[in-house]
Amino acid sequence: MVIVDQATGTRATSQPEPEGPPPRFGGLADGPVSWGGLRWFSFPLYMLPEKDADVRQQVMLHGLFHRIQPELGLITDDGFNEHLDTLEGRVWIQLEWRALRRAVESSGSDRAVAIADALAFRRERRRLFPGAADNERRDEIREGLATYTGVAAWANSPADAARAAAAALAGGESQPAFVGNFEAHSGPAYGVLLDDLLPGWRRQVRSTSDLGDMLASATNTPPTTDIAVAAARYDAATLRTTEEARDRAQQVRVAELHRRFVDGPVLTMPAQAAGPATRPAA
Amino acid sequence: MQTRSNLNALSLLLLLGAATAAEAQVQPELAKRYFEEATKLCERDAGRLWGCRSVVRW
Repeated sequence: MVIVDQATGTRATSQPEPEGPPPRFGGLADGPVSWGGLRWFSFPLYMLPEKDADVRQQVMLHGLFHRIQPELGLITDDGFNEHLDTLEGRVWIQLEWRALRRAVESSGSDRAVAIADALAFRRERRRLFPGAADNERRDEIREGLATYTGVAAWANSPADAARAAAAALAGGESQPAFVGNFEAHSGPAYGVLLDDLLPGWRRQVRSTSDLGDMLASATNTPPTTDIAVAAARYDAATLRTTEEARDRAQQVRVAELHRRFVDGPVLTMPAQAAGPATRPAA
Repeated sequence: MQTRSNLNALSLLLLLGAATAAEAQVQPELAKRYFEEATKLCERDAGRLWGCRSVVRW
């Protein structure tokens, strides 16, 4: 492990530094680095809050999962999930989160119904957006499992892990955007539910797996068929009203930006050579 | 007076900047504590989550 602060050029390592020049550490993003023949994981200092040990420890465990992720065969390409910034994408993923939260916080038949609802909302979203299933799946495997690991390795008990998973789901709705972070909200919940319902799932999961499909295989309840009735169980009407207002505001903002930067005066710079204009000559 | 006031403001900004930079430095003792926390949690996990592999290996 390496903790770095790029601004001051300071760093600390969890074991003696190797000989030779250090690699280039990311200043803003965490990530694995090779150094002295070893695979390290680099954490920017700002990502480790001094006063919140729980968050800090989960962040570090999340990163350490990334360090061994290639060996586990759980590497995927980035997903393209811009549909989660649309009205329908946002509504259906938040309904999935609400149902997952209910599932994590309940047991028995209540849990079974909530899981069936979550999987129905997930299926409806993916029906509306062709390609979404594979794009979402890739991010859930790559980042969702890392976030789950941060929670599961940090928790002192399954109940602790369930509470953290529920908190992650609840926190999702307060985010201004879901693209690029949705899997951090649902990943712990899928993992915690699979821990309960499909022992050994971590030995079965592959880079091509879908966590929702794995959860479906662990339950005997098929996804809810009447999604309108199911959605009403999670205050979908209020959610949709809120999201429609957001969508209208978003369209006004996009139109304004288009007017200013596309329809308005535009500075056109001639390209001197073929290829990306921003790439300096070698 | 205006110049003096501006100089005072500049000094304050420099002090604040220095303080911020000092806070942002990686403090060895603090980093050691963070590493120990993570190591302890990984040792407790003992490979439970991901088969024979521990979450962290040295």
